Amino acid sequence: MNMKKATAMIIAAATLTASVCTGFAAAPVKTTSEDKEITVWIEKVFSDDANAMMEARLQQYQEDTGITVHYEMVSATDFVTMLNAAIEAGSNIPDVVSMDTTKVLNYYPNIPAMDVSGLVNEINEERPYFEASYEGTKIGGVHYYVPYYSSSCMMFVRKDKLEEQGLGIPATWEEVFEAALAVSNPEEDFYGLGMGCGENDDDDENTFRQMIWNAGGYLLDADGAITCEDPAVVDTVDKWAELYKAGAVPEDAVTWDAGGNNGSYLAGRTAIVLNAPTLYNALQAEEYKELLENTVVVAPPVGADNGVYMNFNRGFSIMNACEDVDTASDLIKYLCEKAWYDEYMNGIAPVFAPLFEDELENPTWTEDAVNAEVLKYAQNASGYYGYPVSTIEGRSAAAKHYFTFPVVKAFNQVATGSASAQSALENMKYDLEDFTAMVQ
Amino acid sequence: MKRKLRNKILHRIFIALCLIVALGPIYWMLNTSLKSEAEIYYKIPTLWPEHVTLDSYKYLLTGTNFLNGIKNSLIIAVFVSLFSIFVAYPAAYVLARLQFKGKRVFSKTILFMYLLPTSVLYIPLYIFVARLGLTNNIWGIMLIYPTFTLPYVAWILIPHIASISSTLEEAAYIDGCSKFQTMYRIIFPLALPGIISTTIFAFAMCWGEYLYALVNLISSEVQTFPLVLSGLIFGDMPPWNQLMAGAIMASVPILIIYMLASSSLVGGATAGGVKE
Repeated sequence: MNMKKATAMIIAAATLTASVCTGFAAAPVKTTSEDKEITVWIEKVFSDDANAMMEARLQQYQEDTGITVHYEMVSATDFVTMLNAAIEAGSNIPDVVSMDTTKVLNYYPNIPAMDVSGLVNEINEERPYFEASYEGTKIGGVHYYVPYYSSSCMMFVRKDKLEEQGLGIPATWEEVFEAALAVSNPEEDFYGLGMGCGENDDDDENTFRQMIWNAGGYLLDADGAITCEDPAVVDTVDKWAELYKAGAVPEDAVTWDAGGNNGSYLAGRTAIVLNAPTLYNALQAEEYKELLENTVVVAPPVGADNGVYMNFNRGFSIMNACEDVDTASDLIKYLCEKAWYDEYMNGIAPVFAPLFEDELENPTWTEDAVNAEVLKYAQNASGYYGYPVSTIEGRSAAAKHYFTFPVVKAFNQVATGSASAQSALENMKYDLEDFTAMVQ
Repeated sequence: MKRKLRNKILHRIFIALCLIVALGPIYWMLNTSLKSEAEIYYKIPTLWPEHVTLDSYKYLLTGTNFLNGIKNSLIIAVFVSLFSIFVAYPAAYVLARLQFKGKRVFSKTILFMYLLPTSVLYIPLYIFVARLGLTNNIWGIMLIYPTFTLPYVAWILIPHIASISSTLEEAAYIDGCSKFQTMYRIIFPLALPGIISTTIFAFAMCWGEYLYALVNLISSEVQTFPLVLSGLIFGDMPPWNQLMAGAIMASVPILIIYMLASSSLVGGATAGGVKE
């Protein structure tokens, strides 16, 4: 081909592409008569219907108030990266975003969200929150986000397998361990307890922490002193390693990620797993009809010392960069309006539970057995990373430490025999010291 | 004769093994994309779906922004790969053919620019694009992608151009060609196989790029297909069948381009030449 022609074609193609691109650039912003606008980033939830409901509600707010709402439904996996880029660049920061306690603490000491205690108190006066949500979402005595709903980690139990051994649904960790040993049959690839400890298993990281608390062990004390080498922690790690070695836990559990436990349950390999109610939704498929019939979903077991559950509350923050705090507050209150909120929560039950006391009388959350257990979880979820440390520095260090998944790492080392519980926890102590020093 | 046959069989076995290794993951993607969610979690994974279903494809095409994402990815990848060749070819030619002070430094700088990791650059580039007011706009991303495609294309083309005999250029000069004409009328056609293959690689780099797109393209209207796919993941129960269906469909344009270009790659390599 003639070279001039070839070059001209390349330039023409590039120009054509460029001109087509302009048609796909971001849609122009519509302005309303009031000329006010607000940008909202909402973390998507598992249900398309629920996301559509949220979008419709935000559009409704625009229609009701004349304020332009620019909203984006962002997937949970992408949310933090996108938000961090905006914060770092100092531009395009949304006014209202989905937030939770761990996210806030990760930003400490440069928390990009405003103190919204006044707004939380206002909502709480109109419609009281559960104590666990109201108090449990305070950070250093301050609310950095308005609690909105709670995720949970429920216990899924194969009642048929336990009944075969004459066992009831376990209510304590001791009973869970006994049942796990009783129903396990490694020769048939069936195991009592589906708790994994792969290096990225954030799901069981939370469950192991809860197990440790319930036994009276803590990584930090209330003042922030490191206590991860206490006997209660050592004993809990050793106990699980014993179960693993006794064949009550699948051999491959030491390589699992967060999907390992639910995958094992759906595959019919395990009798007891602790997982978010997304597993319950998966069980609704026709193929799992029999498994669902043989499954009981209950709140997690309690321990010899207490029954603290991990708090997974999420809500909405107003960012420091927000220039119209009144509109942002008004929008959040609009999302909390009871009639719509109850309808929305009904749509996402049981994966997320509401946080208000009056829901204890709402038939959606009382008449359905699974929903009732999920609500019970939300009502009692007061644990957090670093629990019971009360200083913001200690909580921040613990939240940052969490992202290295240290507890599953320690359980893994002990189960695989690469370290004793003492030495694994000693290493954890050194890591915790580093994180504590980082936030001082 | 017997030995020849044995070698032939061994060659075939080796090729078959290589194909299994190369195509295995693609087969598993296809297999998973045709399964129901329940079948994916079977205790013993099935090598072929018990009940073939196209639900995942249907959902992606009708229930998500996947097609729009493909369109955006296509526009960005075509524009950036063409632009990269347009700019990198003269640069590569100069570095391969001309002698000047600092040539080595220039060559090494191109390599180092390519080696800079995305995770280091994404925030500064986001700030740069934000200051230009181009976030959430595919123009912004088309400004960013050449930061990795340009050095790559230039670096690959330098040795390719250098390998073309300089006798042809000398002949062109004798016939009255200028440097510019020599570069585009003599060397460009001979370098075409290299140019086409690097264009394909530049296209593929833009096609599947995730991090820059993630932080820069926020609205669903402007998002590329990797972002649409990652948006399908909620919590710890990823919809593997939908993700694999998306991956299969996203492979199609690349496959088509490879197939279309393969004849040019062979033809270009054997075209022209000199008798020395």
